[in-house]
Amino acid sequence: MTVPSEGRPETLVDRALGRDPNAPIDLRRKPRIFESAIQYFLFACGFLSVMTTLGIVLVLLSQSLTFFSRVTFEPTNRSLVQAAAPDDTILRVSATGGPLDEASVVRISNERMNVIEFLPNAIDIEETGTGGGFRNFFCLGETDINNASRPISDEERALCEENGVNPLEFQVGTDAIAVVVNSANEFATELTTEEVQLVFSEAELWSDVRADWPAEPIMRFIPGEDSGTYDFFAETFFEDDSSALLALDPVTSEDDDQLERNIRTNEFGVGFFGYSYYINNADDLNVVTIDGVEPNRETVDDTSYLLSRPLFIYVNEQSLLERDEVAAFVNFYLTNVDDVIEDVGYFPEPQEDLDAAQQSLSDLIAEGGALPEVDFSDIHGDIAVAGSSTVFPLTRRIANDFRDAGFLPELEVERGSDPQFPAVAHSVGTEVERGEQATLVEFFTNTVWQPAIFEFGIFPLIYGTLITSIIAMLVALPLGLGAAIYLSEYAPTNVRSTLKPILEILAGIPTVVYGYFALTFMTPLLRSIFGQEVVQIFNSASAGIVVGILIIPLVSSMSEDALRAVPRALREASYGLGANKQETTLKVVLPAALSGIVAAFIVAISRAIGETMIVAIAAGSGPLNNIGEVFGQRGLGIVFVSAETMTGHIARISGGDLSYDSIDYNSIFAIGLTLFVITFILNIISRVIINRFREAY
Amino acid sequence: MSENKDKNTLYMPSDEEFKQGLARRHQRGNIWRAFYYFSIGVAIVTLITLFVSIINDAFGAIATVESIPPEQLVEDGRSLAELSNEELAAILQENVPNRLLVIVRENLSRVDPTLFTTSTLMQVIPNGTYPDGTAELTINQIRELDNSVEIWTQLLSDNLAQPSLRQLVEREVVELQVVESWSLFDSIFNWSSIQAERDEDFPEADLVRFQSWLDADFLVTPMSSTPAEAGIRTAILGTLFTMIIVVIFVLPVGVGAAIYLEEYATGNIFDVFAVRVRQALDTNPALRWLPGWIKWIINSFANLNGLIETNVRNLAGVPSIIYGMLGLAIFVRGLFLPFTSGLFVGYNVSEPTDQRIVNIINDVMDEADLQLDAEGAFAGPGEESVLTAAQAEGLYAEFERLGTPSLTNQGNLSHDALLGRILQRLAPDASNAERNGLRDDLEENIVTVLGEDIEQVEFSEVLTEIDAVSEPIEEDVTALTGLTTAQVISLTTGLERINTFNINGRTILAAALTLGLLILPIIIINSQEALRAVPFAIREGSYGLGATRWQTIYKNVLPSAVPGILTGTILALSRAIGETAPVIVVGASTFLLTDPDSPFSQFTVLPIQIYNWTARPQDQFRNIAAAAIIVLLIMMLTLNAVAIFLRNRYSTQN
Repeated sequence: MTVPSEGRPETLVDRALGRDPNAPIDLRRKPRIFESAIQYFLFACGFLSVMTTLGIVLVLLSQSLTFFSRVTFEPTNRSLVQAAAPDDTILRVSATGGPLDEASVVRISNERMNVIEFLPNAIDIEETGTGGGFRNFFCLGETDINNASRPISDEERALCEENGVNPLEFQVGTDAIAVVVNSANEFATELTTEEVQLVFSEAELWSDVRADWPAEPIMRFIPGEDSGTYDFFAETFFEDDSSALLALDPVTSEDDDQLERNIRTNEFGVGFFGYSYYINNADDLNVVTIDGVEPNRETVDDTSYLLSRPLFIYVNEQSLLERDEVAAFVNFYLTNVDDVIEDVGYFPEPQEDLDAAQQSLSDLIAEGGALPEVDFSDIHGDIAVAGSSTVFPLTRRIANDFRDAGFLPELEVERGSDPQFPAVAHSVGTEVERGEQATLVEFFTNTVWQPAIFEFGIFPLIYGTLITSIIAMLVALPLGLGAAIYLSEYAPTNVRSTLKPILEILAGIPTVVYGYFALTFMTPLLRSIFGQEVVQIFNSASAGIVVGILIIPLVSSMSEDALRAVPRALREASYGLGANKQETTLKVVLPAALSGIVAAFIVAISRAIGETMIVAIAAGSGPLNNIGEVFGQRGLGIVFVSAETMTGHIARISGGDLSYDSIDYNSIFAIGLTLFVITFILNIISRVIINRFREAY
Repeated sequence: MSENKDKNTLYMPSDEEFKQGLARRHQRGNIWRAFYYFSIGVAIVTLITLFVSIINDAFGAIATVESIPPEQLVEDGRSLAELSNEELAAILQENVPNRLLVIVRENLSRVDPTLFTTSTLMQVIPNGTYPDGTAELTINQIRELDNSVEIWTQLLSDNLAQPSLRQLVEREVVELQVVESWSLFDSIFNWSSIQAERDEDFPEADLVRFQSWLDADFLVTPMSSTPAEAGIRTAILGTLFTMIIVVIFVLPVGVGAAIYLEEYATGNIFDVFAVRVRQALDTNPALRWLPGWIKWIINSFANLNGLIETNVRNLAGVPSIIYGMLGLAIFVRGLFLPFTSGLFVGYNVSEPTDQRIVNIINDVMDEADLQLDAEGAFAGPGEESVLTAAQAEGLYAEFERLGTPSLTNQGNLSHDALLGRILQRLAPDASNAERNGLRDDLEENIVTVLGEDIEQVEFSEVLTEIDAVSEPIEEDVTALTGLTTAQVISLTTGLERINTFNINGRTILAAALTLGLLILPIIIINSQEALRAVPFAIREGSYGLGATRWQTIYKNVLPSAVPGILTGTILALSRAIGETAPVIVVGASTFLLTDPDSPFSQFTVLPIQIYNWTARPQDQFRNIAAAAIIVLLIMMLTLNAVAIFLRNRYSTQN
């Protein structure tokens, strides 16, 4: 565009630059060189946000893809492969790890092989309590062995006979509890039964027990109520009233170390725990004799020490006779129990008693002859054990040794299966590749999330998210809307202008602070209302309520905007027809603003689902994997149970020492993708509602 | 209303009915109004409860226990503050002789803890004062000396300031422990019962006194594992540092994007393109058959401006933890790692010291049955195992190269590559084909014997089975390198060891970029609002005077919009300050003692500290969490106050 010059007078600048004042001015020659560069730069700035979304989607997708295509490895016992001849085409190898499907493919060394048969050879040990084990499993013939910390009762024996089960008793050891005091405590080393009762129940001062003892408070440190030690002690001394032990609020702990430390540092402390634990700390503590009997091997063996009890295993005779693996296991148990029992913390059975037991075993099985030598890798089957939690660690220890001795899961494989992976000269195997990997179907249908055992079902996490979000919504929607209606319809201008910033402050407080609030205020509040035993320390309800409080301002401010957008004329028309304020608000203004309010609700839901810190702090750290069971027990009280959410899980896993090359790392991205998709869809729905149903006035 | 059968006649309630109905309506109205008041009341009460419970925890009485009271340490009745360095160090030496080395490491050492014992004193404490003749000795060597305890003591007394020494004495010897703490309310209203409780539960506790968990010390001391000594210095510095980088990164980009969307997008080349595409889809017979939803997708992606606009709004609704995962995948470990870790600008890239190389080589040489000669070059005891000069020089260079982080060497080289490099240096004269062939043979042997993938193999494990590995190829190896296979593998373990360093992506920069992306949409939206509020007449006036578009924006629009943009930015920043989830995912340290000193330092921020302390079971951590929350809230409220001030000023001006 050329503008003809009117012939202006020559200026100094013109003269200096040698410019002709009469020449036409070309507007295009104004300095515009950067104009389009600037435009593209600014476009790039804007496009960065698109790149961000793209980045999020790509990262989540690619990591999720890795997650779903990742295969895990499980180690196997290599000796059996070593033993196999190089030209065998069918091998038997022992394997550890989870069950394998027949027809899946394993990799041994560099080879891929077809699984022909998988024998789990498991020893399954449950802690059900002695009586529970007899009543619910052993006498019904469901388990082969029952752990027992007392002899079988007549009633139980009758029940067994009813079902054709003949229980064989083997005593494997003795358990004892030591009552201990501080090493500086020289006075209270010999107590009578009555005095022990006094010390652990009613006496406040040592002088209450015996007048010549110091008038110092008795400081009690005892195992927690859930432990077998507690039960046994309470049963022995307080048969009628086991809670007498807790009458004066003793310090309880499940951690023997802590008990020991407390007694060691408190001159007037007293407590009790397993005898083995005392023996390891005998230098720092004094053991108390009861009725003049000191706990040691002799007094425990001849049962003169009050706090001792025998430990048994009961074996189903039929299983013993018919199944090699049970016979081998019991024999192994009796042979080896004395070697390990002291490690576990109990007193060994005299060798001759065990020999006698073994003799009776061989009488039964081999009719008096020696028991046949068994190669453990040749016997197969699953052994089921239930019963006392006191004997449990012992049986578990023996079972582990039994596995180490060769009773391992076994695998029969055929080599040369997959042409893609040509067989090379066979060598020692160190790994079994499980054909298992997380599938999309499993991801959405499995109801257990437990990466350690390769269970990846997102349902428990989604449940955690849902339950907190629902509670949050129950709090935030009515209160947020109520607050919005108050602010928009009822509040005088000056009140409103004070309240709005306050709500903004509420909205601006970091969520980690709300998390702190949930844990230190809301949870104790709920616990004091509903009771300590109902409300767990970490629970969905507390987290949900606080998330609700967090989003009240969001709901109220968006809803208020929608309400205020309704023209005054509508209200005036309503008043003109004789409606009062409440009717106008609920029947005229609210419906007119409905689309905006619904949009606010949806944004609020999406916010509640994506909220992380409150749930990470207050909702618990572990997915609720047995939802059905917990719901069955507690009903709606399930809201007081801890249940980790998707966001909480991501935060917890990535906050720890996360190895970047692990399936855990990949799995959080799969959760993230699910979360992203859910919130993204909710946000889009809310925008569509706003755009489509907006009432324009 | 049952009488109202005829719809054409107007129903009029009787007086009686009307009065009843009115009363009922009023009553209902009151109930609803009560609910509205209740709603707003809950919000306000919660806010008050929140603040009160935090303050309640941040102050209150404490009962403390001292292992050794300071009076017992000093005989003549002086306080610890009056003692000299030597006296304080002597107290340490007397009471905790076995902790001295740890104290030196934690308080004086400037080297990485893993290198501590093999470094010389001069490296450990640069520019320090050393006891005679010890400067050149390594920590391990000094440890062997008889008077090592005296040396540590002297080091501490010479190189630490009196206040630090006093703190050390207090921490290591006096060991003041808070055994119980009470809340502010209890402390004010139940002081006597606190005393009684203390007498009963903690008879050994020395005193009950009032403690403000939030005090000057709390702000300036770094982290500690004992709550009474912990502070938030590193966290505050980390937060400030992060926020500064966030602003530098996000302000130009956010405002730029807003300017683009508001000032350029309408009618520009992308807009025209979008219109063309839409027209083509609607009118072009070749494309008309496409189903509606495909057309919709094509349209939305062709309309870049609309895409940006929609995207910005959707991004604002993405949960913050998702940003954390993005940051983790691209800033902490992925594409941007060289940038966020500082490798790009040569940060933290230091060559390994000669001493370290020699140490490592010494170690592996022993294993490989080789020796270093007096000049530090490689040599072996037997004829066959002597390295040639070329081999030795090459190896040394390789150790130096692989020990130095760089863009091409980010540590953790694959086993394949390590073997390749070793062979290249050991057989400098052989052809590539020969070397590669040997490497492949070696790897195949290892894989066959150990039954694992070459990258999964531990070289140390190879050494235990070396006979089986080397049998078929021993001759080839010796022919090419002059060494045994065992020696080659040993050298490779050394190379692997020096190549194991951590390129740290968990830096302030990574966190700042992540938080930046998080608040970018908020800043864009706020800036757009601010730009939109500038009257159009200003632009028209500027155009009318002949200004170009950019001149108009830069000289006229932006200055009017600046207050609004600033307000929006500050509000967005106050969001970023309190964000915790993404920072956790990106990998903030929960326990950090050193101040951040560059964008590439490890970091922690205030919310992380609060989270970490809240999650701990001991009560005292709750107390300091509350104190830290107060600091965080004060920072945020200050920012908000500035924003509100700006907004008010701005709105009165218009």
